[in-house]
Amino acid sequence: MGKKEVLLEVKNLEYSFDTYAGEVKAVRGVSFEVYKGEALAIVGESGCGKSVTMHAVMKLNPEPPGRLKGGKIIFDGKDITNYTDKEMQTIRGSEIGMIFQDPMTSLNPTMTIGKQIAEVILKHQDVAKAEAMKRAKEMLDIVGIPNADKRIHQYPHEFSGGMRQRAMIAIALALRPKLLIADEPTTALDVTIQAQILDLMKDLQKQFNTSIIIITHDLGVVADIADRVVVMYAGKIVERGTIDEIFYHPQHPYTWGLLRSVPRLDAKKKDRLVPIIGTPPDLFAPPIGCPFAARCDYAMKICYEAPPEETCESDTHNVTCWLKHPYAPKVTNPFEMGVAADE
Amino acid sequence: MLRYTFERTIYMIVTLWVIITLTFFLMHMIPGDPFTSEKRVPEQIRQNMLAKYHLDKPLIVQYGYYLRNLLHGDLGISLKYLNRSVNDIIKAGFPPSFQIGMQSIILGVSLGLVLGIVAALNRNGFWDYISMILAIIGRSVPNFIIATLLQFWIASKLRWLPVSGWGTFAHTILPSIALSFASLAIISRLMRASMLDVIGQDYIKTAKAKGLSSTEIIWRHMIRNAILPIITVLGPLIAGIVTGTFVIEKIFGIPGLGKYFVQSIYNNDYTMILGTTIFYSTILVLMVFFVDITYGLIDPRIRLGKGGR
Amino acid sequence: MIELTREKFERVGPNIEESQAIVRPSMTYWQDAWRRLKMNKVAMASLVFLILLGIMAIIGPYMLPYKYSDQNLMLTNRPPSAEHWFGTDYLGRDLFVRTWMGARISLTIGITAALLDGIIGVIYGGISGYFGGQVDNVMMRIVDILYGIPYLILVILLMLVMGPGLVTIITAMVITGWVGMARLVRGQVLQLKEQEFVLAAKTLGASPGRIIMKHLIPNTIGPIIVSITFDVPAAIFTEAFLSYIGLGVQPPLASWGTLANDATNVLLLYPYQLFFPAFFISVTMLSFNLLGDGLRDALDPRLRK
Repeated sequence: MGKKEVLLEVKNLEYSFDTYAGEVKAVRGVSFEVYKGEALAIVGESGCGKSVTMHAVMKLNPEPPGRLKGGKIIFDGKDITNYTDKEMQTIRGSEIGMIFQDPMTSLNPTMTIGKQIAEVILKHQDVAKAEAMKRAKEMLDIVGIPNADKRIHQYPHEFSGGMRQRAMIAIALALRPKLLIADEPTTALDVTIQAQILDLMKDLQKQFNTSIIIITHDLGVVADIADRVVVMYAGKIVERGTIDEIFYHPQHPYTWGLLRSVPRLDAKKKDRLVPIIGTPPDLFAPPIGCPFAARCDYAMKICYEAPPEETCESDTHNVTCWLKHPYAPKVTNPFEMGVAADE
Repeated sequence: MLRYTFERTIYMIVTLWVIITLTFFLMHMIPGDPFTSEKRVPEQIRQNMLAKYHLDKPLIVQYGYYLRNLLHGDLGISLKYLNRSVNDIIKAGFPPSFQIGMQSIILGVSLGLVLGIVAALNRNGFWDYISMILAIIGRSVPNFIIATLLQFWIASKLRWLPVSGWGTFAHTILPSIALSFASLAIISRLMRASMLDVIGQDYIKTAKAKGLSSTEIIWRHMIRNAILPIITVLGPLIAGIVTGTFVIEKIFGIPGLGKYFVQSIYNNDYTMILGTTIFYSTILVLMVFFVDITYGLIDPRIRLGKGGR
Repeated sequence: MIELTREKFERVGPNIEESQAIVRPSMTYWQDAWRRLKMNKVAMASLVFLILLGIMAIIGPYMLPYKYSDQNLMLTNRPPSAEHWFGTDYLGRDLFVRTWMGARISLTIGITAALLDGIIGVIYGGISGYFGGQVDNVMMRIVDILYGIPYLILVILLMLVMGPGLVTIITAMVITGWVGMARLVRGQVLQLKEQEFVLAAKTLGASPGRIIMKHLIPNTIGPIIVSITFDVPAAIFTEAFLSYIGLGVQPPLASWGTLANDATNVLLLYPYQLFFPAFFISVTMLSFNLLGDGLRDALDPRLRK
């Protein structure tokens, strides 16, 4: 593998919502990058800021109350941090496609599927309506909807949930964008359909050489599709690395907790699923130290007093945890141990 | 859609039949008959009159006669204006009422929609407050008071428009405004709420993620979806405007059907009350019917005969 | 910057209490609704106004030494003065006393009609929704047809048959008015019946009585109260409208509608006579509407902040 080209770079992003009750600091200094052709997963529990981050990149958060407080967003070599809504319109839909969690509500109920796909083509390219409809039909073929020439004239309520998500993918990929942002694309679907949708996304990623950012709380989805993983907690990134690093050599106690709370095929019989106790902190007044400290079995005094710095485990693997400090007591990594004990 | 239209048609017919029957028997429960008050009418003539209008027959027979005539479009003869048929009176009185009613509906609905859309798009802005104030007035001040105040200030004091009467377009302005106030208020508030609801929908986010401009999103995705729930209140709204004409016509001295209707109430004019009630009800029921059908045409979920979502 | 010393790295473990702390104290549904209603200044102002209005409707007619029907043909159409606070009408009757008598009648009609509408509607809609199936089908077809009959026209007809008067106005309004409430309650019950928490209660063996009392009523009562609150101004308007076309309460009794009607007859000469009835009708309807808005926000548990 040669040096990979960066498609999207997010540097130290800070994003807040000004509500009546005060400022909600939803994203507090998040940095990551996406390379061309790869799939990046952003993982975390509800409300950790993963959706807000990606909506901020697309400038889809309603502003106000939303507000970009700091940081830089560089997409395909262009600094789009301060793009106006008008400038963003040229990027949305054509260079970055996006699909959402609930396909039931993400399509306009009073417009035919065909028109909804053709709309994005007509917006960004100077083609005739008939041509746009023809390409809409082709897109439906590509995403695997049978009888496409009949289907384009139907309304969303005539489609099943999985079909609708396929239609959403058709809209998002109609113009072969460089990046596809998928915000919990399978959460609202049946398990059997989930796998189909993920397979479709993987196929199209190869076919169109699209980069994918997938936002999810489902580690199964991550394992299925992602090349690299970013783990977020309370508006911050706690750990990031390749899929192998995160699944087999996780370093952050929160990542451990996440992994222990999902069933694994390679688990021994006596291993039980362990929930992470407690709830994430209140983002009106985030803790001064590590946000996970209050739920962390390994918490030290310092964890409550100062935020940890990000440290490098390898070229691709970063952790933000005080346990990485030389003064910290040695902690046995439950996952490294597990691997060792397997021998 | 066919099934839906058929269902609606059956409803309309049954509703009309119930109204006709109910009105007919209610009218005949009113104590006395229209000739009792006229003391000078000799007994023999009174009997003749009753016979002439079949009023001496058993009620059920009268009902039969009435239904038969009704099917031929004959609403009978006014008992007060003895030489005029109810049909004639309606023919004379309906055009002014219709004009005022139509103008009010158009004014109220179009202005209400515009105001509601603008208010939703400028939430908590200047137009939002204007629409809120108008809505509060429209909801709280009865139309006859608005009419009286308009008449007093604009016509009597400022002399910009005629105080009362009928003939020119100028005569129709104040009555239409007074009558449209309530619907303007209701429509603008509903449209605002509906727009705000649509703005929060996921498909608006999808539209934005497609790179559409705000104007495109508003026109193509928001308004059409936001108008849908508004259509359902048009029926009751039109009913309010039609009944509103009773007092408005009285206040502005308009020779419309409403005025005749109120007069026939004072005069105990059976056939006239019966005829106008049936006429009004038919119009209202037809309006509701058309509103239902329009709703079906606009909303694909109904048009294609399936439940939503 | 915090100095990093070795003892800072002493392991202290998680702080479970903090991470599980629930920020909001728990409250009952009604406490919470009342708290939110209290925060709504507009709704509270409306409530205070309506309470004052109610008190005045009771004591107002006794505050001046006249009866509402006392005529004084020497003192007709007088402007407000020390003797007659709101002036007198074309028969020399005191308008202050008549306005508060009018308040009594208008409020009585409005509240009674709305409550009766509510009770009948809740029972009818509740039965229809709870039993569902064929019962519901028949009951709702009847409602649909009644709903198609123009309300005001039917009220006018009923008034003609029953003759004018306080009781007949209320009766006429109730005969036609309960339909809206029945539809609302039926819709709510039908929707709730299918919800998981009701199914869960059934599975756990709760009796129908307990399901209705503990699950269906608390979840429907909000919309019902709100709907009744909105029905009151509608009934007050209907009464005023009927009085205005001469079908309402009969003289010498007064309602705000008849007072407004009397005043419009002399509007060009004594425009101030319209002020008091028009003002009170409007502000009362406004207050009920605003209170209804406030209640709707306060009673909707989904809007809990």
